[in-house]
Amino acid sequence: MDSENQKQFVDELLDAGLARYSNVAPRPGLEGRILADVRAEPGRRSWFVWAGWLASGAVAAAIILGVLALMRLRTPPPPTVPVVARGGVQIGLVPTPRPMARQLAAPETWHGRPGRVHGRDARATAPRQAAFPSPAPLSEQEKLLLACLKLPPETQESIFKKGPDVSEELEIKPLPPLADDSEMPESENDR
Amino acid sequence: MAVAGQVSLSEPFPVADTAANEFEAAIRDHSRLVYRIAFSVLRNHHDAEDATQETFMRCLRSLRRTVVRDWRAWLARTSWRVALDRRPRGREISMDDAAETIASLRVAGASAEEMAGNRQMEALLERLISALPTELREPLTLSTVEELASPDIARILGIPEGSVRTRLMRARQILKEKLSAVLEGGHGQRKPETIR
Repeated sequence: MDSENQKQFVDELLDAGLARYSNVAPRPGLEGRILADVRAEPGRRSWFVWAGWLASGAVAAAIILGVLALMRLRTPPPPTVPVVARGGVQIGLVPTPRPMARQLAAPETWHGRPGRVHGRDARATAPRQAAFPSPAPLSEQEKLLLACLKLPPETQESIFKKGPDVSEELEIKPLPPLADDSEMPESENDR
Repeated sequence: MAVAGQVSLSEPFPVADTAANEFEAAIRDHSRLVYRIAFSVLRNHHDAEDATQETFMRCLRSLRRTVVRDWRAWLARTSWRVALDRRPRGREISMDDAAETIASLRVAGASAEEMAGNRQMEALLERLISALPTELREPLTLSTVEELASPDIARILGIPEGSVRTRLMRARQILKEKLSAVLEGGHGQRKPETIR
């Protein structure tokens, strides 16, 4: 009987304890605090959106600048030298051939076999050209020539005929006499 | 009609008008339930209030892409998850002092109701529940929230209703055995950590 009483008491105690376990009331004003939080949400959210956009823009700009700087470093403009015709007239600019990897490497620090370029070094220092052969800008003379070729044939003929006419008969004038004839040896013509 | 102390949502609201009205009603109708669920897990008023606010904020954010049919179930489930995320790990409650106090109250002839209201008894029960296996502790904890019946608990935990009832019976049986041991003074024979 005592055991039954004990069992019943434990049952009641457990029921009462569990009933009280979560039977609590929140502090007054909980609804108001929740609603205030809810209302503050759009401003907070828009700030986060703006911050996100700003951060994304900054990262994108940094990436673009980095890529541009890298491209500029890896492909410098090819150096040009003037090409001169026989008459001393410059007819254009031609890019100079880039130095080989071996030439770029410091000779005093390289201890490998002469005449051999390691693949990695060659790849690292080999010139990289956007187009092969590299385009060179036209000289003034070439531009004028192209402009002439676009003109009608009659105009072209008149332009080109303005130069000296080599077809005319050459007139050979006698040379002026030398200052002292006595000192000159006899030539074949005088005989 | 405006009631004193009641806040209206007529000010700019981050969702559409209909959803705003429903959400406002949900806050008024279910904030107490949400709070109690959070308290049943966290056992602290301040943490429970924080969890309640977080629950409603989470619901507000997902309201834009969710059509809510059962606000009560949705909020209860969200509150349960938020509270579990915030639950402190490894919190220990001294059981020896509590057991001695309960035993002395029993000797003094206190009723079950009087003993249940004792702080030491609350601490003892909390310790006993926290020592239960998770599969038994979770349904028992939810069952202490008076607004939740077995179907609600089953929906929150995602298990069949029959399983909820079975687990509740097993959990209560274990708690009864432990309480009997405490009341008979058997608590001193074993260390608190070994009580299962």
